[in-house]
Amino acid sequence: MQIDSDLQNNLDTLKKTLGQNDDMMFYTFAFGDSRQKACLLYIDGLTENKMLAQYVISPLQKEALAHKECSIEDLSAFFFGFHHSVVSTMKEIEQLVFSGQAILLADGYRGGLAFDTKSVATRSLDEPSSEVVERGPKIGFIEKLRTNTALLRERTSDPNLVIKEMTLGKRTKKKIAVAYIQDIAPDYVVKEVFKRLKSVNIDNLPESGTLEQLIEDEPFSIFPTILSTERPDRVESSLLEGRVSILVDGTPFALIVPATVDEFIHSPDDYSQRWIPMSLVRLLRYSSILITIYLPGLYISLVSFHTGLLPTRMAISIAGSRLNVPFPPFVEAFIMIFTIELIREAGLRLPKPIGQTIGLIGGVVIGQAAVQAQIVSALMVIVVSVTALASFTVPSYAYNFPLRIIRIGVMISATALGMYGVIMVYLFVIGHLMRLKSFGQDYIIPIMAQPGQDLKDTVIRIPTMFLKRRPTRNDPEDNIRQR
Amino acid sequence: MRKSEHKLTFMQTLIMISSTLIGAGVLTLPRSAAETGSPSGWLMILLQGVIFIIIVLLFLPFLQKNSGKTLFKLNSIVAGKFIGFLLNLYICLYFIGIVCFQARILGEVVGFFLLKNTPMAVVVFIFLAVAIYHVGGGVYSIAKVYAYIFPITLIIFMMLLMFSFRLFQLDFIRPVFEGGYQSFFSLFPKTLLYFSGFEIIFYLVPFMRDPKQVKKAVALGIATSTLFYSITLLIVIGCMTVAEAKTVTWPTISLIHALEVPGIFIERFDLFLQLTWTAQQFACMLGSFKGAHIGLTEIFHLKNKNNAWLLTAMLAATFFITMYPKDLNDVFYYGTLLGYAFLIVITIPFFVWFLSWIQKKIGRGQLQ
Repeated sequence: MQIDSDLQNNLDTLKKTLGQNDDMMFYTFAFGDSRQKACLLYIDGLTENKMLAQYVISPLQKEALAHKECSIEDLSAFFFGFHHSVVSTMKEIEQLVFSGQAILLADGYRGGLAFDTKSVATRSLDEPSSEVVERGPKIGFIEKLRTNTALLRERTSDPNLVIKEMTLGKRTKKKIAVAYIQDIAPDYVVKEVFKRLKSVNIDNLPESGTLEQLIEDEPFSIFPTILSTERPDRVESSLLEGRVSILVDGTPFALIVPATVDEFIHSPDDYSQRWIPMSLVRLLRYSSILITIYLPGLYISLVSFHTGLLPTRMAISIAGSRLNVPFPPFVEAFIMIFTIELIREAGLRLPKPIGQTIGLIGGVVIGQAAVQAQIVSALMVIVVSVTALASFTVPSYAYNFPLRIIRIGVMISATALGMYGVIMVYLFVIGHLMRLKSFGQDYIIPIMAQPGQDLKDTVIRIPTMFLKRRPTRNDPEDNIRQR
Repeated sequence: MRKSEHKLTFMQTLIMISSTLIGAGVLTLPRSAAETGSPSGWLMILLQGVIFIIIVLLFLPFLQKNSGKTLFKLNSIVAGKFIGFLLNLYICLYFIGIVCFQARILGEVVGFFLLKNTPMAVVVFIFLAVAIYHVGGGVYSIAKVYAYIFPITLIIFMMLLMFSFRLFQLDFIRPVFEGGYQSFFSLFPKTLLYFSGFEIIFYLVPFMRDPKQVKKAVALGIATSTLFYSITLLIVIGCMTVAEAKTVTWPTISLIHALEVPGIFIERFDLFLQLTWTAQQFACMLGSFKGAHIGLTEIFHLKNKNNAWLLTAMLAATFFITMYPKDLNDVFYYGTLLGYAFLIVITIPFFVWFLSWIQKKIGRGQLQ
């Protein structure tokens, strides 16, 4: 329906459709010599009233408008320098008003003006709580898209940084932004990202996690194939490696595609600290992943199948500690691992100070008591605790889940088939990982299959001065980092 | 617009060739070589390695010139529908035979050393089922699996051989050519079978990023495995004498079994050997399995590369064939038959090349 030139008519129709909302404001005033009537429509709270008064109402009232009939485009000239657009139908008004814009309708004009006066309450920039680094910028993304893109621009003043915006969500119309560096990111990845984003057809995107699940390659795999981060510096370094980042309005978590397994294991401060300690830390992390997955399974298979392979004295001491335990090793291990998962989940939801108490209760009281009550052996408590500790060293929370799931799988197959079961689970997982793709690129590339220069930044990281090329696994257009 | 490229690098091809050669042989080669009583098997392996490299270099130019097609495709183009079908079927059956042989050997070893009470059918079925999952993933991901497993195998294996070096006595392998040339050359058919595996290059060439490097990759791949086998044989025979190696079923495991290095957390190392060997055996079998899969897809003209029916049928067939032999002696007998089949398989590219040459002479050639 077109906007009528009679203001009262317009307001009547609008009040019929929008008037049921109590936060909808119809502010009527008069302007010009002829005291023409005008009305401002806005949502209280979404729009900054001060801005309306200062930039919309007062310039209008200062002008002496002589003749009554002029077009809405002429009126628009009064607000030079203030972002606004012309609207001509009722439907447009409805859409714009709910997205936070203020609409000006004036008597005698066939059309209205929409002012971008949106102001949303946000929190201030803060240190990201989910990704703590020892050294590096203490700033994280917030819930406002515009601030997040500005943070990216501020860090990367490369003119080739492209930030493309689009709206997703049939009903809620969430803004999302796709960021990439034009002459680094391979165009087939960028195209693929846009293709998948366009295929999303959902009413609401509450968080980037929802979007992640809609556009990922392998929804049925336990491994995440998209990286999410709160840190602008991490997004920046990923963009410079030729990746694409997707930011969603309303969440501080940005998505980074394509992702490789290594990305989940590396942390941004691997690069800001010196290379020798950080290489050792990386080795520690990679071995802790092996421990997380295999230690309980190996223990179970050694104790219940291959006791002959242990050194004699060790076998005797294990047998001694298991003497009064009534359960088979699998049940024993499962009880402890289940308890640890309980403690972890309980500690996660509680406020921080209580969360720590839970850990203490769980670790000391249950562990100690379980051993004394001879439900589990002391050695099993050690094995499970080391396993849990090792799993905490993985920097990415999302990457923790697959490791914990595989661990249970290894335990079950170790109970059934001993060492052979463990190695078969290993081969199966390897096969699965090798099949995974993330946006057309490999999810994991074994060391021997990579070109030599990529090895500089994998399990170890060599000095920064030798990192002259970008890693080829992301297939960058321009691969020179340093000359 | 560029595209992401999922093709094999030079290194991956090399590893794939080399790794498919190293499988059951690690455990049984010393016994086969010891049967003739000559301690110079390691020299024979080196000699045969050179011979096979020469054979491969002879037929590779043909595959390289038609680098867009697998041998299965070439067969049906050059030899016509019917003969091509027979050739392809033969290659596929050979590949399946290899798969079953490797799986059975694994079942025997696991049953003997790791799981004494578990029925072998369970062990073998899990092994084949996991392999079928890999086979569904395509050549590129299989090549990555190889690249993951092979370096670990090499490192752990070489470490174990180094540990056992203190049992090594030079006298056990001397004199070279003991028993005269006749005894030496009687080794020839015994160790020939351990070179089966490089025929996966029949289907590998089209998957390479740069088919020009295929000769180098295959030659170096065979050379690596030859060296590996030769060192294994040298050390195992040098540690336990020909007479002893002849009497035990799995000489390599027995050797590592006897090894005790006190002072380290785990004193015995046969566990490491069995774990890495299981993984290596798996990788070794995977290449042939994929070969059979590609061949059968070609034979049945399947559009879908991952036809679920074909994969299930292959799993069932390999499982039943694997469980067919009654005991280990039976298995080794079929192994010998596979050895002859292997010799026939490597003549196929020559045969097809010859046919296409004739066709070109009479002006009907469709290939380069």
